[in-house]
Amino acid sequence: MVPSKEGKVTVKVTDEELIFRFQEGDVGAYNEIVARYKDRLTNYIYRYVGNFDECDDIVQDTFVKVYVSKHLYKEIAKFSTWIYTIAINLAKTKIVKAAKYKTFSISDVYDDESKDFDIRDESYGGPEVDANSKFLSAHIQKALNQINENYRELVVLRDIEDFSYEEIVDMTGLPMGTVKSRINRGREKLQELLKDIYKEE
Amino acid sequence: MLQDDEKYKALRDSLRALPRVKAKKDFEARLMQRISEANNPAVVHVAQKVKSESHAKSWFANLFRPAFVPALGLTFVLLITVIVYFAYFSKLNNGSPDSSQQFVTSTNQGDLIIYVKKDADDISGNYPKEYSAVSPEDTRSGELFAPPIETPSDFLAKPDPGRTLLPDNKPDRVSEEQKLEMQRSVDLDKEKGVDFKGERKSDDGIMKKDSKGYFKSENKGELKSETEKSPYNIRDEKSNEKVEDSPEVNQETKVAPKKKTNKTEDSIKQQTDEESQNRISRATKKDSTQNKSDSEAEEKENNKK
Repeated sequence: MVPSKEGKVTVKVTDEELIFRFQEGDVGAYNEIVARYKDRLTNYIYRYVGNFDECDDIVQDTFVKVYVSKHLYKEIAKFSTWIYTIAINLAKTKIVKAAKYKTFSISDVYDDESKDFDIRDESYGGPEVDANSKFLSAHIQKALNQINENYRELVVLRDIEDFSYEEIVDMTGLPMGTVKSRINRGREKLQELLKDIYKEE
Repeated sequence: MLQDDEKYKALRDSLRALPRVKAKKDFEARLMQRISEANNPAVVHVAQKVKSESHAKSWFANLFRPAFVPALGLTFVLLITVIVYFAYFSKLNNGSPDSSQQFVTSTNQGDLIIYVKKDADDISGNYPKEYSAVSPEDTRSGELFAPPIETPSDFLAKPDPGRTLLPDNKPDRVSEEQKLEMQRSVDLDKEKGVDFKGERKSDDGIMKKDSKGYFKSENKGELKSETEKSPYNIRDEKSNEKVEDSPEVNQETKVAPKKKTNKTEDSIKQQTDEESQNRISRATKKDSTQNKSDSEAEEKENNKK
């Protein structure tokens, strides 16, 4: 139970309850799911794909898929695991298609700074800090895009989205040993690519 | 697990510190639009229909474009050539007078079977005729067809026994119709009182056969000359020689009817019945068994001598 700003006590409904309600025909539950997961999924898919337009398409496809095949969810795993698995699979498919039919996007010409997305500015410390943080995030994203996508997927899930190893195993369907080794190798590669930053630190 | 996480703590912190990317402001509106499109496939179907119709039209128009004119012309000419060619040959085939078809086959026993297929009007003519089964001289059945006539270029050459039709050549397989025919002929002979059999019964009970068509005259010399002349007797040369070489056998055949006249009428009737049955069964026996029984009978006669 979470107290709201107005002083009313609202019951925090779990994701699983929301999807069950949606399975029974409650569209409001679906809207709640979208509100909860749209930013999380957008962040994860953007870090994995590295392109905001593609990321937006994938997240939209994910929610459409959830809407269409809502009856396929069973209470075997957590809802978050299920929706992330859908998003990962769609992202992988998109990457494969993009590799097959190489297209040129005008938005790729410009730097990441020109992109139109909101960044949380909780710790806004002035224009210098903002410029530094932007540069750092762009640099890290570039390094992430350079490592193997198998490592990138798992590193993002573990270190950015903060999922546990067990949840990652459930999402990817990989053995625990493979998950751990891939995460470590991904980290190693990232550290190599970002060593100039860490030296300074 | 935790050790690895601590080892890369700095990296993990920098990754966590990355700014959170948020969805676009109109994300939900666009999502609802996509969901409504997914829920109403009719709109999509109409769009696809319009697309496919336009595609079909363009395909039809493309078929008759100027670039395809030579190819279409060549195809047209080839088609006409093929039609004319087949029409001409079908006319040639229809114009031939002999529309009946013959299929000549041979059995393992050496019989020549000719299947004659007549025109479609006469269905009964499609029944297979076995020329070797009935003597070609027998004209009692009007349904029989003449065997194919072969005209050899070398008249001095010996006829091929395998390909020549012999009148005495009894078939191994006798159809029911032919059995009835033979039975009828036997009955007719009985009524006329003609001694129909050219067979005699030896003492040991084995049937012996004298060659039928060419032994009508009792003169031995005539018989010999006829067998020499006739190309049909080459197959039965052995049996003829054997019969001719033993004069006693010939004497017996001559004497046999005299002996029979002495017998009573009942015994004659009984004998004729037996012989008629033997004749029918004889027709079904193989040539090899005939030769064998002949040789055995001769040996026994020689031993008696």
